[in-house]
Amino acid sequence: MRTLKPDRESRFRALYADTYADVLRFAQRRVHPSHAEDVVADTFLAAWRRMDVAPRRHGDARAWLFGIARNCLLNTRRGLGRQDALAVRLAEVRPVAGGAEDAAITWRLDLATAWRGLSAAEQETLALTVFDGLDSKQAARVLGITATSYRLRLLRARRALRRGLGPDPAEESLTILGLDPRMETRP
Amino acid sequence: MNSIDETLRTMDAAEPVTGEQHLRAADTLERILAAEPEPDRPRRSRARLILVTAAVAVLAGGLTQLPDGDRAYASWTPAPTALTDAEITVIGPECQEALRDMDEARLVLAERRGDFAMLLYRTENPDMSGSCLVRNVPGSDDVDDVIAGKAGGSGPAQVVSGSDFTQGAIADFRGASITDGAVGSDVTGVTVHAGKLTAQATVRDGRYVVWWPGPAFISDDEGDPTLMITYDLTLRNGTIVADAQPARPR
Repeated sequence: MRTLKPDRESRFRALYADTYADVLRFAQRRVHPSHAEDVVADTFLAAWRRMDVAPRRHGDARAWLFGIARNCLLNTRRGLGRQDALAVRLAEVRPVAGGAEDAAITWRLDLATAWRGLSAAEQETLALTVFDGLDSKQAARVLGITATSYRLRLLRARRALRRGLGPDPAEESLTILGLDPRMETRP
Repeated sequence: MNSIDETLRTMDAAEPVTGEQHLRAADTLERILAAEPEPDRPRRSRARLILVTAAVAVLAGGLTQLPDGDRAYASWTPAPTALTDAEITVIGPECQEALRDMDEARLVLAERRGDFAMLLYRTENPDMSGSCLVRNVPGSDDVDDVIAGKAGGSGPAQVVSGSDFTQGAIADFRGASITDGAVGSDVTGVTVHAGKLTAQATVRDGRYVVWWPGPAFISDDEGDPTLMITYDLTLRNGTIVADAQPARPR
């Protein structure tokens, strides 16, 4: 056992150095900032105990850690009943009166409002791609679902976000032409 | 959607790591390393989870997509309901992906217990079963928590007749056990008792499958797994055979 420790420890130190910031940011999006570092500590403690199953590839290891962090967060909420998803918050957008940036700020305020209108599951699905930068396979691993299911959820979440932003002029044009705007092409 | 994604990224609630956080992170790392990692306990490795009790060799075994956190099976029901064709259409591809090296297998049984559905795929020669348990809330086309495993032998499936039945592979998926087997033409029902749980199997066309949210094995004094399940059979004439014994492979 002891003879294995140096390798295990050096791998863990490297993983910690490579991913600490990403795991902290993952937590900051999902809990109050004052709690984020505790979540990260719990996550890495669990990872240290399970280093024998840690993926070797950086991207996969990162997704593995996100999955552990997510479970740490969900476990703390189980007392309130089954929780399937974690809401993801956005930074506050502060409106500024007047000025050339009005349109951009209005767009961000609309987007923030649409985001808040999403379910926690929809926010979580989108965040894994948009904020956490995971591919479908890695995001699916975090959620414990298949990549196919994740892609389907992502498609739906994007649709829901667009609906929350109001009618899309392009979609209106399709409707006028008698086409179904819900039909989408694969990215 | 790119402009939406790009705008969202400008609204990211995450902050860059500060110097103070780096210092605290370094302390945290040393505290974690000071905690001796748990000994390399015998992990319930994915391959080991398939335990075959019949005298057949495991050709292959594996689970996919095990979620890291335990999922509650609170909605589980002792009696199954059949899956509709529409539900199979939604769930089937996920299971086929999970059991992708069983291309020749055909779906033989499909059942629901609460929020979980079970699909059993089979090839008769070689005698292979692929069982797939998924979470799928009734009425939803979301399929997640897909866990699947396969086991069997290299030869053809054992043929049983009359009131006989076989005990096939017993898979221990995290928190749930699954088993399947063959039944003779006189058997219309199979009930499994596993500790305090009793589960009624789905039986059709000479096969049965059943799962329950609990173990199938307990450890004996020496730590070896001991099967804890018993079977009752319901026969076509209404007779119930309690504690029925499976047919021995020939």
